[in-house]
Amino acid sequence: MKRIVKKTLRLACAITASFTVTSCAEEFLALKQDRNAAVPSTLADFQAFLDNVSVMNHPSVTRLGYLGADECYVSDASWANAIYEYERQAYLWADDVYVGGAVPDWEFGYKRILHANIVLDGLASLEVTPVERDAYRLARGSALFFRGLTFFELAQLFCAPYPVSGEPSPTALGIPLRLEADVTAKASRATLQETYDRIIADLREAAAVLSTERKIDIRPSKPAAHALLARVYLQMGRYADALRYADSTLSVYSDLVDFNTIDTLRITDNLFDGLRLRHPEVIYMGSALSPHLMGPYSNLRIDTNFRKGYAEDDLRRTVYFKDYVQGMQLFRGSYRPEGNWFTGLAVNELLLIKAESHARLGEAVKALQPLNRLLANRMAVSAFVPLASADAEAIIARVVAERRKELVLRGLRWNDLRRLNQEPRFATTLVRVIDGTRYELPPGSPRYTWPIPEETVRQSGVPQNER
Amino acid sequence: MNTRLLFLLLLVAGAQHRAYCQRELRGQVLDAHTDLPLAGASITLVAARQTVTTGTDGRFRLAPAPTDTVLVTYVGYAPQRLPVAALPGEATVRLVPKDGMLTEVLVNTGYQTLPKERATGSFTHIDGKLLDEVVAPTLLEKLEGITNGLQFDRRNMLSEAPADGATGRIRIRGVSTMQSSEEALVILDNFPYEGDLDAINPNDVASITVLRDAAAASIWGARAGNGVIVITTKRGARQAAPQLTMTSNLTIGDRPDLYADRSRLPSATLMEIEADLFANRRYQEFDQTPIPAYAELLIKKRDGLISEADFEAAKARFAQSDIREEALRHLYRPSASQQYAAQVLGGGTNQTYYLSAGYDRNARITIGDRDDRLTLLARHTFQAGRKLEIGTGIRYAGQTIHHDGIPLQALTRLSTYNALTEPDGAPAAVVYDYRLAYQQRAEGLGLLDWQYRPLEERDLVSFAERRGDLQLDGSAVYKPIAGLDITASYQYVQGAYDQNRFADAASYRARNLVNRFTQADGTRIVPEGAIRETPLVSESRAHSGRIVASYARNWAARWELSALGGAEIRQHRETGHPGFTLYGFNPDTYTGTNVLDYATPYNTRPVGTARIPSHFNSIGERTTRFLSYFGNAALAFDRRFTVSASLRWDASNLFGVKTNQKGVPLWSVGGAWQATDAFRFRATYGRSGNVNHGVSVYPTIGYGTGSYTQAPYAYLTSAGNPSLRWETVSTANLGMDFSLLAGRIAGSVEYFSKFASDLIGEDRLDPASGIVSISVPQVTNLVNYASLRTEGADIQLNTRNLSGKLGWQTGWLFSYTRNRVKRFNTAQVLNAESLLTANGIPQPGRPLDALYAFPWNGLDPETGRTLIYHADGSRATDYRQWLRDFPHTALVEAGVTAPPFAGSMRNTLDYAGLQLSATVTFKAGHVFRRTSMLPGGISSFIHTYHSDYLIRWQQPGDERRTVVPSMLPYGAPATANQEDRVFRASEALVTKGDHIRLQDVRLGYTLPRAVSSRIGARSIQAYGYLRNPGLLWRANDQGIDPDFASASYPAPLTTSFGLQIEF
Repeated sequence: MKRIVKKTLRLACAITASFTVTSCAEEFLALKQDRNAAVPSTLADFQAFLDNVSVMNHPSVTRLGYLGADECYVSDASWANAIYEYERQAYLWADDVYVGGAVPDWEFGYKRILHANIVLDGLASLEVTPVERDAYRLARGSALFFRGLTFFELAQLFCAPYPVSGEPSPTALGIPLRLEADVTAKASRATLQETYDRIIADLREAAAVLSTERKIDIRPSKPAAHALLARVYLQMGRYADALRYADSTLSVYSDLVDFNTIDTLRITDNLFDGLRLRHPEVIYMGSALSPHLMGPYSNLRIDTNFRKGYAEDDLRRTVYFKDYVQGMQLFRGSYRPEGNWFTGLAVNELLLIKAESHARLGEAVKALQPLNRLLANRMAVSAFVPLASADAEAIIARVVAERRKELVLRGLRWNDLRRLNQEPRFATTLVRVIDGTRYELPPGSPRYTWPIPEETVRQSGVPQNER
Repeated sequence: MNTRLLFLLLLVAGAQHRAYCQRELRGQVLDAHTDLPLAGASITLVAARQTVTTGTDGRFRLAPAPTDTVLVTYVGYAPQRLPVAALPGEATVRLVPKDGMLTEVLVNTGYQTLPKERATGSFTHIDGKLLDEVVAPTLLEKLEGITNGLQFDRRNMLSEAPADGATGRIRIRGVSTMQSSEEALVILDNFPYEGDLDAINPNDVASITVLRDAAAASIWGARAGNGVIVITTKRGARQAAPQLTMTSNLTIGDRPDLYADRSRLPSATLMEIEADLFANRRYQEFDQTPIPAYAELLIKKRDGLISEADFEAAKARFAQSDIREEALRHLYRPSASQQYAAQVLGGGTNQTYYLSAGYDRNARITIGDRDDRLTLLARHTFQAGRKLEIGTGIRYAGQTIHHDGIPLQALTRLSTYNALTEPDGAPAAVVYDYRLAYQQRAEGLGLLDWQYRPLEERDLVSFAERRGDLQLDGSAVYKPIAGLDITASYQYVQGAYDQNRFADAASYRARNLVNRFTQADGTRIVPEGAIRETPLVSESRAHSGRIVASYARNWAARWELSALGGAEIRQHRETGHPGFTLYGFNPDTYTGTNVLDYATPYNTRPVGTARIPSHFNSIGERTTRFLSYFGNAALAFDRRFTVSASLRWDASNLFGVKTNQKGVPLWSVGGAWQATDAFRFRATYGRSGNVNHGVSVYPTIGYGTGSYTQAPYAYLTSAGNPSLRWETVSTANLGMDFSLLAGRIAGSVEYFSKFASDLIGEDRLDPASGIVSISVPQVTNLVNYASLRTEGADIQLNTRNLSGKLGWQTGWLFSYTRNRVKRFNTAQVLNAESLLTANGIPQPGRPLDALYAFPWNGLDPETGRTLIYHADGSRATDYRQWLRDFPHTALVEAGVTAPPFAGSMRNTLDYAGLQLSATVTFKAGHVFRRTSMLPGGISSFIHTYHSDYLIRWQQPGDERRTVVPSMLPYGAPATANQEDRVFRASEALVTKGDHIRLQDVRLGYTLPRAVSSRIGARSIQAYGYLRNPGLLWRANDQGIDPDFASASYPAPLTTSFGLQIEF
């Protein structure tokens, strides 16, 4: 009897012990629940993170810019039928734009910044072998590029315009500059100058570590960082710097698509659909999600006066636009041929930056070269006569006009309005008429700066923009 | 006398006695009627004052002196005294239930079976007989109205399929979590069951026990916080003659009440509205925009494409037709469910067996929807020597579910006046994805016919789900010494699931895809022909192993100890495989092509670009692992005092490493006191848990393949939380059981208080952190921090009003629950809107289910607009500004949406083999927000209609008879439609949910034995059953069934007939 009890107890102990061996149990419990989930830890993880097109490249932080600028208008019915209240209010530059709702530009922007910061924080504590050096530099440079790009895009919506002449006021507010991945850190607003300093620092460092070589257009490269620096410096009115960086990129990428070679009779919603992933002008691929209010097939109307501004022989008139029902035009000239508006960096923008910078610096002759080169590829061969003006001011005016015609729906018009309104000769008053009521946005209005989203103001106590 | 000497003498005498007089007596105690074993029966040796109890199989073992007498007792049965000398070595004692005594209830916790009289915890036990009496679409629905403290939460049921088995969610004793699952843990044959409850044959179920408090449930540890439902299947019994049972039933359900759908307007009214919309240019005439048929007619008239006479004729035809009439004829039918089952059970001296097969076949209410189910179950136990018993079981369930039906709700674009058939009876083409005029033009553009004819499509497209479950289990019980059982058990469950879709070449589904991807030059990117698709294939495998040692011992016939301890290990893995699509599929040869370019975006018709739809490009695999240790013990004295305690430690890969390391156990203590024969008091306290599968402990990224790059990319899914732990539910339970007038009045009263803490909730951050609300996939930031208290009472009363030739019994169930949020921190800014949404932010000190509303001030007598006032009492007119300024503290707490009071009354009459029963249920004290016409609803983008349009304010004076505002005029500033938000969330639409429902009526007849024995049957029973006869009373005047307030129609009446024969 006793023996049996003993035996039994021994057996019970053995079985229980097999469960309790700690290392065994730990191993058993260490299995991750979801096979598709991974803890980001390797260089490959970080690169995969940066290759997430729908966070890093799309959508760009330009939606409020589209809503506020003068490229598109919508009918009363479209406006009345809009799904999102904030789009309706933004279209009229209303006092209270967001009506308590989320602000996609802000949210998508800071989400992208969080992704960049997770990569930067992760890379900082990663040991790399010499073989991995290039991959490491690509990841680090890309993260800095994305962060700089996003800070810049946010600054165009939520900060006052950067003065093209003189220094910004030391009290002018910038955006919260989040530089680490800790999501619990409280946001505070930097000054406008600090914001632009950070943008430039991030992009310069990105340019320093990125290589010129580029495998795929969604990944940043040194020429892309330089192209973006050119865009930033132009926005700041620092033309010499803008010119320097534009030249740097143009020395690597300068191909243009000759619009004379495009069959405009082909029935398609995008004439560049054949150039997917290899559009020669694209330096960096980014794209926007169009506001619902400006849905390309239902609501979007291009200003008819603006379209009349294209000369008869200007091929962009037919390459970019197709007549659509009810007096609407379909925009079919996006360099991202999937229904999204291209907002990345491309050669045509750089040529215009180069031309404007030369002209602004008084170098009329040098300014004509890039401008003529662009126009030669945009006008019908038969009709193209190279410009030969020696008047720098006239060339500036021409470049400003060409920027509107060439860079349609690139997310740049709002930035240009903010920049050019500082010069009386280019100042524009925007007008909307909805249900018979007229709304105006005069140049220099504080409404060129959108309010900071309420939830950020209330949670982090950051100061709100004047409206 | 020297006491020491006396003791010695006694000892010697005893030893001597043992030495030659004892022989072993083994046996089994069975119910004399059912031949089922009685577990926990007491076998007392009268002279030796020694008592043992029977095990789960009803068996016992004793070593009596031949002169002794055995007293066999069991609560509810007449005791038997048997001289040992008269018993064979292997004795079978059949106890006869005492007339007028309730049969003793055995509760099964999934770990052990014990008589309810010896348990301290709160159990609800439903025996197989009662379950058999209820005919319901699902096993769980059978519990409604007969299980105290269990409620079906149908608040969020939108589907039209209440009759087709959509049960809503189950709440046991109110709520004990906020964002984690509210589902109770289901135990099937002693192991957690993760499969589909529909896969269980209800005829195999021997009993269901619902564990409601901590002492009952804490043995299940970290997953028991919502209560536990233990399902036990039938088993054979030793030395029992084979018993064959055959059952069959047929259930016929009414067609749906389509007229109960309040979102539909009569044809004529709808046409007036559409004419008005047309006149106000609200239809955007694009190819891709579906436009209602009447508006199309008006467009044709405007464009001169139709003569005045033809227009008037078409208009008149529209005005007279109502799609619901046609839908009832062509889309719906009376449902018909057939159920067949056969079982054999029995056993020999060394073994028991149970074999069962069931087949169900259901033709659902929507024509084209049907399903069937085959279930097989085999169980066997085998005594291998004296000390070892081996048990094995195999269970199989196979289901096929066809969803070919087209419910009216799926035809969202159709107006009330639309027709499903042409005047000649042929299937009619209706507006569907695009503008009808465009779809009609397609063939002229060189495309395939692009029209959608629902009645034709139903026969050309099929969609079926298949599910197969296989369960294998084995157990070994080793009894080394009397009272000690060591049980090792193992269970393996394999589930397979897939979906298959077939679209004939002539179907709209196939034609639409071809047409959409037909390029400008006529190139067809998607090949013409049939499409065969398997959207999803998944499988699950679960391994569970357990070892338990249990010990039971009696001393001096007064002390009883039972204790168990053990360990359990478990892994459940689900794998989801990407599906496939074969285009140009030939149904004869089963071949097609899948070599298409899925990467290139093509131009599509009528507008846009798209890629050819493809499937997931990753294999999903989710594994949950649990490792647990547990123990419990109960000590009873004199059958009057019982104390119990339990302890359990859980670790899982769902929890954070820190949590697993800390190893905080879950526990319970309890006591019971049988004060008199009539009254028994119980008290327990303890803690159990609830896990949340959706939260990750690691900062995680997911991997996918980018559509633009065709290369892998990663996305952030969770900010991570290494301290993540289970939610804790502490429950205190006080109970009193009573039995008066020889059991004619019996029942229980219980009070409970649950405190749920460490509830998982989303900690919302400043969007500038990058953790944002609108991104997809959402990045979660969930932490344990909230808490909630739920308390209530359950009262159960059974009365035997008449006994004799005419028997009359009444069962009453009554339960009350209320809850209060104790702690909820959120960084989110509170505003009125955040409390008004369906899953609003919980407010500390308020109920979790609270429904908030704007105060209602009536309608403006001049304009019929909703009246609103500023805080200072002045009249406000800008709804948008008013909404923004409205402080959330000024909202009215209009009530709770989950009924605090619920209960049922079930009466059973029996007379000479006839049995009539009826169940009446009620729910009370809750409210719901009814739908209504929104003032801006018609003029806005998505034209939404509601029958309250007919009772809207139209002229001064109407404000006295209606709360529905007037329609907003066209051209009103768009901000004016903010009135919608005010009206929709106002007190005016808060509706009382109180109601009394006649849930079912059943008439059964058991044939006299003389008749049944003529065909060799032991018993023959036939019954008729009505379910959902309808509401007897409701508090609301709108004619809404509060249980189906958001569904398209209430559960239709079903009528069943059944037959059960036992041989």
